[in-house]
Amino acid sequence: MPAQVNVAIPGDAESLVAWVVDKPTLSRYLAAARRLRMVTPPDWPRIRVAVLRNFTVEPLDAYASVKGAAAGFAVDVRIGGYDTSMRDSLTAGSWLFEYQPDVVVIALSLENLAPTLFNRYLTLSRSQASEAAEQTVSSIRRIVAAINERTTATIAIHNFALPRNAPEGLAEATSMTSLTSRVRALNQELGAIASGMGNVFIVDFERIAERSPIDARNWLAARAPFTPAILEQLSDVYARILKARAGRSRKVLVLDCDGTLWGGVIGEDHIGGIRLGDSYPGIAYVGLQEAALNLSKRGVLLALCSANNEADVDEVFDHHPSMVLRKSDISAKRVNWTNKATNLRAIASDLNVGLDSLVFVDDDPHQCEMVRSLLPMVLVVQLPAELSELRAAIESLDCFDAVGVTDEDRRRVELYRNEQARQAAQESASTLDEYYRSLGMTAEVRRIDHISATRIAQLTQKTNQFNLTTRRYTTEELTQLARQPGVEILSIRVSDRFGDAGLVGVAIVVRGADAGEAEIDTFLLSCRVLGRGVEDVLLHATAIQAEALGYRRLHGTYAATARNQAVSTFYPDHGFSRQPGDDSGWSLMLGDSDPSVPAWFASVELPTNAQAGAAAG
Amino acid sequence: MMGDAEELSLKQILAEVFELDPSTIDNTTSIENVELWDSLQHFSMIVSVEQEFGVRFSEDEMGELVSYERLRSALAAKLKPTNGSPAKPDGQRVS
Repeated sequence: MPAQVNVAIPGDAESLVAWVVDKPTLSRYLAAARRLRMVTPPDWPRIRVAVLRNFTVEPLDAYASVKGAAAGFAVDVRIGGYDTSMRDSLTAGSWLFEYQPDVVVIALSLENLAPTLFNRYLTLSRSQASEAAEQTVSSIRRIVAAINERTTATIAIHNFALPRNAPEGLAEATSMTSLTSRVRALNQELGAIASGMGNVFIVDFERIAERSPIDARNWLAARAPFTPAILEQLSDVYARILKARAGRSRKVLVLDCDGTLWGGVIGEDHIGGIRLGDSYPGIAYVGLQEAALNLSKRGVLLALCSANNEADVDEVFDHHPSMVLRKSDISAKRVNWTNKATNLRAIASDLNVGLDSLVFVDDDPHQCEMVRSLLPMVLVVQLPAELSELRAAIESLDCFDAVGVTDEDRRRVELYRNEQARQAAQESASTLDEYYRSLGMTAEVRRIDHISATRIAQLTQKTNQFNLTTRRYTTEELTQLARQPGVEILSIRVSDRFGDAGLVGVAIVVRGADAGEAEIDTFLLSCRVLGRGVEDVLLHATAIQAEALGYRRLHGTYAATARNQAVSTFYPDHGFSRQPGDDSGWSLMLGDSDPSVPAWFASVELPTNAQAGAAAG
Repeated sequence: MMGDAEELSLKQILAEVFELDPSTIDNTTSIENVELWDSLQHFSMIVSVEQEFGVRFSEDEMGELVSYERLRSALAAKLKPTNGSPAKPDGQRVS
């Protein structure tokens, strides 16, 4: 080892992250986290993370700060007392609520929470053991309920590590009542607590501790079980949660063909010669396709980007007996001899998503490098050379996490297929108006309810292009907001003869600065229904509904972001005007010139108490 | 045995954990005179040294290594007398 000069600790946030990535040691995490507190850019979103614990979780805070910074968040971590989780969460004025956390981590060790259960398990009768287990779950349930009552925080519950050894010896795995079985059952109950709510996640510490055992020496000496390997994995999960709750998930998996979906080159090897089948090596490619197919069932769109003759690739999709993916699974494709950067742009535009929604998978290092350098916002996955790692390369992608999967997610692939049929119809209709009429569009505007709240929150999180103010809301925040006087949260569903597009637009009206003025807090539309007048229907409904609430004027603003340029003149284009002394937005007097519904809609339904106004307008 | 490179690495770790200028670290540096050296950071320091050098300290050693001098000699005893390349884990599990 060459005698190296002492490494200076970098002075800015991005270099600090790179410095730790370069050598991810505990001491670097500690040093970087300390410095990040001083040098994190003030415009990074601040995330307050509170940790409720009953053992030494440190230096988890340093890892969380650095991993947070790597994702562009200014993470501030506060760690509670050793045995105060219950008191902190059940007391209204405790530090936990004073702190106003965005995320609450509940990291409780079962060994500390229920020492008799964990350490003297065989001295307990079955009913005593059941009682102890039930108490454990019910205290966590109470903590979660108390936090949900007083905050809108995202909650991350660590589940429990399995016992390190087997108190019942050989019978441990056989017995349904062994400690191991009990801890597994407890973890399932924790999962049940989480799955009922949109804002609660389970941090799978059981799995992490299986992969990377705790440090028994440090656990005994200092109740400090986390090794660097565990700290890495835990903070990775936290970063995923931060990204998911901020709606920063990607939407499209773009796949190369030769060397990715199958082995070999279709143009040279022909359909009989490519490697794809039920034994090695072809089975590796089947595995990759299966992983991609699973992702598509989670709502991730699949696309093809391949340098080939389209007919050759079509032949494989249509006729190869071992193909897992079908043409109907593919939402966009560019199979041609154009460069892949151009093709990726075209795919993004086909699907109405930004380049930062794409993940590009290719086995060719040159293609990967070209895309990385020309389109740095695309996440590039270069496939490993070992075929045994192909499937994992897809399954380990952590950029597709969404907060709560909705029906729309599950149907997204189908929705995009409808969109393609629609585009084909557009090409055959002679005028745009005629085309719209031929769609037989219907729209339904409704007030928020507990069923639509999750989808509405998701739209506020994910919509970037047609979004006037880009305000992000969680389900809980929306539920609270909806209870405020003078507030109306509307959503719009549309369908046409090609299918039901689902819930695609949101408008939120709150009390404005002046009496009688309604402020349009949020106005957004999913990009998959752009250009069909859906926004006109939503604006019409917003005006009608504001009038029904007694407002006399609507006021709207445009907050520019890198992505929403297209709607910068939305309000002036829709009859709103600048008022003297108001540079921030545009106003519209209600009653005389309400925005109208385009004539091509076959039917439009508004919330019930607005029907009278709707009839008048 | 400790070469210059190992010694520099060790000082760098202490500097990072305890927020020190590495050039100020010498045999007098200890838990007595370093502000951030508390029991919590002591564990972080021990684990950092183990991670860097691929060694493992015993439970007894953990409590003893409260100065740079002691740490340095305990580490030197664990590192194989080689030409200065980093030691392999000495048969113990490294976390």
